[in-house]
Parts: sequence; C-alpha cells; structure tokens
Amino acid sequence: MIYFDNAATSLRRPQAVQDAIVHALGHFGNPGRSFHAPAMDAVRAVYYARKAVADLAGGIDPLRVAFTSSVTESLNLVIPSLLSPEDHVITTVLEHNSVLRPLYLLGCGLSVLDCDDSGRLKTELLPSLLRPNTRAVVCTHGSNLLGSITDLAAVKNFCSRHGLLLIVDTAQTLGCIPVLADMADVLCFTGHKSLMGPQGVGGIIARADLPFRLVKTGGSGNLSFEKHQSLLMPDIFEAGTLNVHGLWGLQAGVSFIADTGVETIREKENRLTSRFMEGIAEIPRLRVYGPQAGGDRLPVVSFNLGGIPSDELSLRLWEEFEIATRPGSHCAPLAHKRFGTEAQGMVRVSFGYFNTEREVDDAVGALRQIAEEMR
Amino acid sequence: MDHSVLTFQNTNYSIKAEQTLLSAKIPVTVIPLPSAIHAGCGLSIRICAADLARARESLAQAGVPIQGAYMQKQAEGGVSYTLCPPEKQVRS
Repeated sequence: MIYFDNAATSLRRPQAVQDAIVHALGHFGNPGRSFHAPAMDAVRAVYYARKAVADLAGGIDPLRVAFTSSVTESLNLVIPSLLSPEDHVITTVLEHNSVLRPLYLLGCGLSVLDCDDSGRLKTELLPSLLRPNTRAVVCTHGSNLLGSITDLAAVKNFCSRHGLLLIVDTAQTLGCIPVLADMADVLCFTGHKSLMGPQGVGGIIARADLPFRLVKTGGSGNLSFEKHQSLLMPDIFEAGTLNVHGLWGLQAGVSFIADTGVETIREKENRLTSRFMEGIAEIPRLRVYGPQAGGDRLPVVSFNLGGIPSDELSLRLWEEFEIATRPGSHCAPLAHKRFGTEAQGMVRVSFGYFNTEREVDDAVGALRQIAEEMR
Repeated sequence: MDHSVLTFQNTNYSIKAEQTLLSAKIPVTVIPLPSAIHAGCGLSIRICAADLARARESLAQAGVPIQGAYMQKQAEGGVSYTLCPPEKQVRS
C-alpha cells in the first residue's frame, strides 16, 4: 500500500510515538488533579508536550500553548472567544470548513479574499475589503487543497497597519515548514498531521496579552469554589481532562521533528513533490491545480484527469494500485467553487516524510497507465 | 528544617515553577494546596525556607508569578502557614 493521504492524517509515524502512547496508557493518572506519582507524571507530560510545541514555534513560553482535541476545536474556541457578531472579518477563498463554519456560526460580517489561478492569495487586495468594523483576518497558512502557502508576512503587515487581529489555521504547516509564534496573534494547530502525533490532539498558540472571553468551562483542577474558571492561558481553553495519552504521543512526534529538523523534513517532502510534479507533467489531459512545477508549495498536489470524476479516479488508484488518495471536496467549498470543480472534485495526493521516491514513481506510473487506457 | 510553601494562580504555573526551580538546582516537592491556605483543589510547591530568596529570583526571571509565599510551621494541633511579606521573603 502506498499512503499519499498525509494531509488528512499521518499514518507512518516514528516508533517513539506509538511507544509513548502505550507507556502513557499504563502509567499516567489525571493531569493536574492530584499530587501522587501517576498524576504528577501526567501533569509533567503535559508540560513537556507544551514545551516541545513552544520550542518548535520559536522557543516561546510553554504556557502560551493550550491543548484541545483538534485544530477544528481550536478554531471553534478562539473565534467566539475573540470576535463578536457585530464584527467584520476578512477570510479567504482557500479556507477549510473548520475556519468557515465557526465564522458562519458566529454570524459576523464576512469578506472573502480571492486567489489567482496558481492558488496565491491576492493579499494586495486586502485594503479593499476593509470596513469600519473590521476586527480580524482569519486565514489558512497553507491550502489543504492546492498546497499554496499564504504570505503571512504580508497579511500580518496589513493587520498591524489597521489594528486587526490575525488568527491563522496551521493545520497543514506546523511541522511541515518553519512556523513561528510571532507570525500571528493566534495560531491554531493539529497534532496528527505534520506533527506526527495521534488523532485527538490539537492546540492554540496565542500571544500572551489577548483579551480572550471564556467559551468553555468546567473542571480545571483549581479555583473549585469559583463560579468561573481561570481566564489565564492555557487554562481558559482546557476545561476537563486533557488527552494526556495523546499528548505524550504528540510530544514524541514533535521531538522527532526537532531532532530531524523541519528543514530536513521540508527538503525531503519537496523532493518527493517535485518528482511527482515532473512525472505527471507530460500526462495528457491531467490538470494540476494550484502552484505549478517549481513553485513554492506544501507537499500537497491536487489534480484531475480529463473529465473523470475524482471519486472514480481515486477509487481506481486504490483498487488497482493500492494507492491511497483523497477525492471530493476536501472541506474546502469556496476553493472548489473558485476552480469550478464542485461536481468533479479533485484527487489530492499528499506526501509525508516517510514516503519514498519509489512510491512516487509507482503513482506516476499508475496515472500514466490510466491515462493511456482513456485514449 | 523550616519549609516555605509557594502557591500559584493555577496548576500550570505550579508545574512551570517546579521545572524552573529544578533547573536552578533548588530541591522542590509538589504538594496539594493546603486547605489552611485556600480551600479547594490545586498544587503548590514546598521548598526549604533557606532557598526562598533564590527561588523567588528564579521564578521572577522565568515569568512565573508567585501568588503567595508562606512559612510552614509545626504548631500544636497541626501545621500553620504564615504569609511572608515580600521584604521578609527576600531576607529568608
């Protein structure tokens, strides 16, 4: 089996991640709820996981990292915690529903920044979207559909000039390309993709002085007789027992990335992506969406072959070649509308650090064979 | 040996304090928040009273605010805690 669905979730992970989770299941108590050894082992594990993520994001204070169950939960917490229905927000055509739906649910005013045919967001148009009540830009750092990378420096510069908050979805970037906490006011992340942890862990990296409102509450291990829990980071987003077993696995994944080096991982994944792009370049009727060969991109490539519905092509790749890809709409409805692919969808391949050049060559061969049979 | 007990705004600060003090080679024990100080749940840090000034300095450098520093004394009928004013904490 060739697994090219790493943008959905990583599958091959360092052995240390599995070992850490198994260890945690047998040894960790409830973090922060008591002082005995199993509870203390758990609460220290959470702290070490915070520190691992904080170090990856530029060596910030670990207490600026709050843990959640996913990047989707992170965005569902942060958006109503900082924004109100009366606010106007700028988002982009490349967003995942994990960004769009919390904004729709909030009911704020919304403007959508377009991208060009290569998937590059037209950041030069940001000033034209400003309104008197514009409060924030909420955007992805990298498209889960096209693999294009957002020019966050340009967006942050715009936000700084106009006093706007910048909230960024790093689901496809943290661990894959260099990401620093000071790129935005808030970075929302997931643990199970490029960070190589298990599903069920994600988080929020926030500036220290943001005026978060409480949007989730419950047991927190302190202030038990108060009606409301602490408003301090990270407590404000961490009511209830954390997934300490998953977080210990996440810590192992992030440690692997730190030991290997993000640049080394990026180089390997770039090499695989370029090889794939070059391999499919001559296949007739195969159209790649987003950045073309040679462009800066994530290890994510979406394409169609003639008019074959993406589900049919993806199914053939799986049933005839055991190549795992992702068809359909990728929870990115505005991007599919932008490229006119609501009905056909796209087939997405996404590479990970543990993929090989041989696997890429096999996938290219499979697509050539299918294209030949279409003639 | 006299002990000092440090309390913090939340458990996360308590653990960051533990890690900071261990890095500074100051022996620490994490204990449940004494109910004589504050009723409810939570974790606090117990150190030798002689280490208090150095602990305060390390925690200030690490950005960990101490909510309260207490002298722990064995008293008739149990343990008592006396809040240390800042100037006394420095001298301890």
